[in-house]
Amino acid sequence: MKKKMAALLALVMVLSLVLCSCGGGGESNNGGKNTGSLDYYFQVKDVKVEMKADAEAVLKALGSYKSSYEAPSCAFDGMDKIYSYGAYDILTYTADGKDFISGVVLRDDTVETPEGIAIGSKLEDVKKKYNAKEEGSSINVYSENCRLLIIFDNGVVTSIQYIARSEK
Amino acid sequence: MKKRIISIAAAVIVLAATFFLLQRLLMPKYISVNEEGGLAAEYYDNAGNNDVIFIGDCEVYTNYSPIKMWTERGITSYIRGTPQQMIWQAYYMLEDALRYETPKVVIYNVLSMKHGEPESEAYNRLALDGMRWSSTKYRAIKASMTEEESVISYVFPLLRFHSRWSEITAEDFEYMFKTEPLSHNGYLMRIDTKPAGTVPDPIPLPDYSFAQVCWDYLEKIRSLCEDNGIQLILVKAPTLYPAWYPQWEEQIEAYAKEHGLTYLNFLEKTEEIGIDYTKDTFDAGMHLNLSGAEKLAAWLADYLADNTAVSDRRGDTATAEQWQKKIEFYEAMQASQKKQLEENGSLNSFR
Repeated sequence: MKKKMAALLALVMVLSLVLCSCGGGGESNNGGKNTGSLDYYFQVKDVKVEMKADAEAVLKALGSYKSSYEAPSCAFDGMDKIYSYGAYDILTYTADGKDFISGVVLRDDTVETPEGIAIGSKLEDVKKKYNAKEEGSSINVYSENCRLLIIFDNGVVTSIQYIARSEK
Repeated sequence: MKKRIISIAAAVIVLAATFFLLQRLLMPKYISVNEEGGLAAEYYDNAGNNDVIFIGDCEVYTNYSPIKMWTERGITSYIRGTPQQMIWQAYYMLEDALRYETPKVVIYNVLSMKHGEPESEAYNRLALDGMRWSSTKYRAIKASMTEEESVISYVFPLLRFHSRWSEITAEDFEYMFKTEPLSHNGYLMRIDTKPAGTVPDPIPLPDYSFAQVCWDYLEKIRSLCEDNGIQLILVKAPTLYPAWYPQWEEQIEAYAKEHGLTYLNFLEKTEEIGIDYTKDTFDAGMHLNLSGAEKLAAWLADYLADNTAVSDRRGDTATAEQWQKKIEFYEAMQASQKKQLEENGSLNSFR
């Protein structure tokens, strides 16, 4: 009887240790720079803005912004930030105490994608440049870290957004 | 034979007890970190006798003070809000509440109509782990799970939180079998102020239509209210960010009109309510602080008293005594936060 109980307790302890020692779980969205060479990116003059890149370096290179907004996460640590430069907005997220680029929104036609697409471009030009088809009123093209979303209305581009792809 | 049965039974009991204790130890306590995770469970100590139930995301639990609604018009209310509460979770929070009480009015904040699919396991946990077990909770889990989640991890949260063993603090032992209330009938108090400055322009969307699943759950909420003789009111909190698009507004207005529901978009009533975004928000317009939440609650209390079946309950001695205790807790937290602000210049804790 005692031997059986001892064996059982040992089993419980082993089970507990196994449960406690295997990794996994976790709430944080681990960021990190992972800039594949095929990734879509936005460029202002000689500053490349790549998704998931270190935001501090990018913001420093871009210079002063017109306004900024901080949107803290509900419940969890983390802060989404939006830096408005007039012609475009830079969006960042926080992971492990550091800010990374989570998006770029082009706001007017004074800036364009490296492929030459700007607000006001024709849908047909977008389809040719990105070899893509429209889905409803938008075109989505993907690279490793980036979803490039181009919205159009009546055959004309109305919005261009670079969006960091999630870790899924 | 008998001895064998006893030894097996003892073994099972030891195993279950060990598992239970480990689970209690390793589950997050939501005391000094991610405090909002305790909101869902707090309801059960306050269930019953609420004439108004709010459901929704942070736009309900930060923006309306039930205590103010009581002191102004004697209205009893509870906010069943959780962070980023999806509409299917709002529905099941209501269904769960109806197991304990039947309010006269349900108020649903429409922002969660923008989420058409489960997004975050971490937020699911904040909404679901605190719910008491019932078939409602099971269905809430099934509706909420992301692809990576499993029902079994909700039945046995140890399977999810076992990796917390390396993060265990004294707090995990102290609150293994007890917790401390954080909210005021679901309202999460913040008295600090961060004025709203320039709010970013809304980011254009490729499609402004709400997902069908959201319409389905809104319809379920409406039907549930109708079947129980409850008046459903739709609201949009007066928050400046994230954006509430005109295209979304049109869809909600049309739904409300079609079904004869009251829809109050408080973004259109800020002047009437007296909200001053230089004083009444703690995060530049995303949520209201205590000052703002009291203004909004006072306006809403007047509206409910004048336009719905809720009545002034202050003449009911037992209820008044209950709420007096709530008022004392509310005032104590307000004083504690004020002291923190004076000493540190910022809030380190809600409590």
